[in-house]
Amino acid sequence: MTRRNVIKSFIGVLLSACLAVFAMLCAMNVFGWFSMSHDVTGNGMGIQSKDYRVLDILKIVDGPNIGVEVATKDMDKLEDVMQSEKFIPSAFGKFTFYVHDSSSSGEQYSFIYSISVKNNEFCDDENFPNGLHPGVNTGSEDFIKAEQYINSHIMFFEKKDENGYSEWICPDKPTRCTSETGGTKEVTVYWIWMDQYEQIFEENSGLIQEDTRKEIAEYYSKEENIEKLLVNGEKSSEVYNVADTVIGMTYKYVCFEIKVTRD
Amino acid sequence: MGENLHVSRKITKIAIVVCVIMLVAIIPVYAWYVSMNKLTRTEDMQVDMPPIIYIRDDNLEEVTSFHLDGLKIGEEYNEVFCVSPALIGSVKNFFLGVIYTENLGMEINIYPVDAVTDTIPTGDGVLYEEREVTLSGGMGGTCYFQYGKTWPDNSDNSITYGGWTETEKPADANLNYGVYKSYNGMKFTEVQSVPDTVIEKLNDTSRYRFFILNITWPLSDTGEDNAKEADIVYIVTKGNQ
Repeated sequence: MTRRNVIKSFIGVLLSACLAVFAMLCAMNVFGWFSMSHDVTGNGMGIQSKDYRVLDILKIVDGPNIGVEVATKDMDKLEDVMQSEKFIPSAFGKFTFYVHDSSSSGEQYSFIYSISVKNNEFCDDENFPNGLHPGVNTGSEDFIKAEQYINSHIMFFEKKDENGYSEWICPDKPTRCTSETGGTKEVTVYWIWMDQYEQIFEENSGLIQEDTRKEIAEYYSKEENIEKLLVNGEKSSEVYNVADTVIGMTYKYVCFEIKVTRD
Repeated sequence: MGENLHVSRKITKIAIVVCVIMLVAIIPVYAWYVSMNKLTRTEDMQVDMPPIIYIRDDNLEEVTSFHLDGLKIGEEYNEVFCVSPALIGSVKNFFLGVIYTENLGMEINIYPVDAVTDTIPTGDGVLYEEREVTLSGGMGGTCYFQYGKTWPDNSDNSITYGGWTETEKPADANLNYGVYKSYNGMKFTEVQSVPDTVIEKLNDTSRYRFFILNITWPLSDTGEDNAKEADIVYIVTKGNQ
């Protein structure tokens, strides 16, 4: 093979790679365009589409949008989310937010949301930088453990009634919602810091509805999840409490972060 | 050579064109994806150290029930237990309560252990419970849990058991009839040093507070009381910061 041929075939490969990438991007763009397909105007140079599809997050019905793309210090927040006196194991509460389709087309829409527990990195208390106890580094292995514990010991549910909590919001599965009519969709989430191992693993423990409890116990019995809830994956109330203590030694100021994505 | 140059120019041109096309294509897609995600947060909640405590036996093992082996009519019976925080320093004071039914007319009291010694304690009014202690890790030996049948004077800060009060059945509680005694404001001390021996370990009041559960089953003149079925005794504790 001559050198020219080598170069030629190299260009060939390069071109086909470029074309493949381009085709993929075009496909994504076209797909995106179709799924946004509102009010498209052409101006000769390209396609401009006005994006009516952004979903807003509201604190109150007809209120302003408090949804942001990136968390900031001054962002507007959901309030009164805690119903117990102290934020310790057994603390509980609820919060409500409204997802709003600003296109107001009246068509049904779906979205998914996920919730995570975070330290407040914008915290003003200089004794607790990043909302964490002094000496805790956000990248460290200990912090990652504590983050797993707080995100499993605090549980979120879609429903709470006289039979207990139900419709658990699994940490790695976002929850899907569909609006009834378009416009605004109300979402209420109940949360509780489970203070006892038995409430999760003992039959008919009462706090969580039995079907839901079974689902949670099954999830946290899986090899890949057990260490998120229990220190070293040991099934005992003692290590469950140790994990609570790890949370207490790591976090000082926490908040819940809710992510909403159009589905 | 000339042809090669021509080819490489061609490559550059193509590369530039492809780059421009890619940029044009990527930007709206990227913007679309970003705008699809919205997030919000809740206000801050301040985490307090969980005041988790355990009831443990004389071997420092967690217990959920006592085996009252050898409880006899007309004799006093003692059980040794301690209250211990899950994390040293996470609980400053705690509440201890004893709740029991009164079918058999038993008298039930809790007395704090003043000290644990490896020799038999002496002195007026000094009582003790002798136990063979075996701790996990292999340490062990004969220990004497010294106590008195009076609660320490609240004003004596060196003992730092705090005050105690006997309370009646809580008015709002949906509980059975019985006797409710609660001992409030008991404290753990500050951490002094790391214990080396069994005796040092059991006397470390930053980690363990020992108590004697004292049960007296009195003789009845008629035998009537003893004919009833059973009694239930609960020991409850709750940590505070």
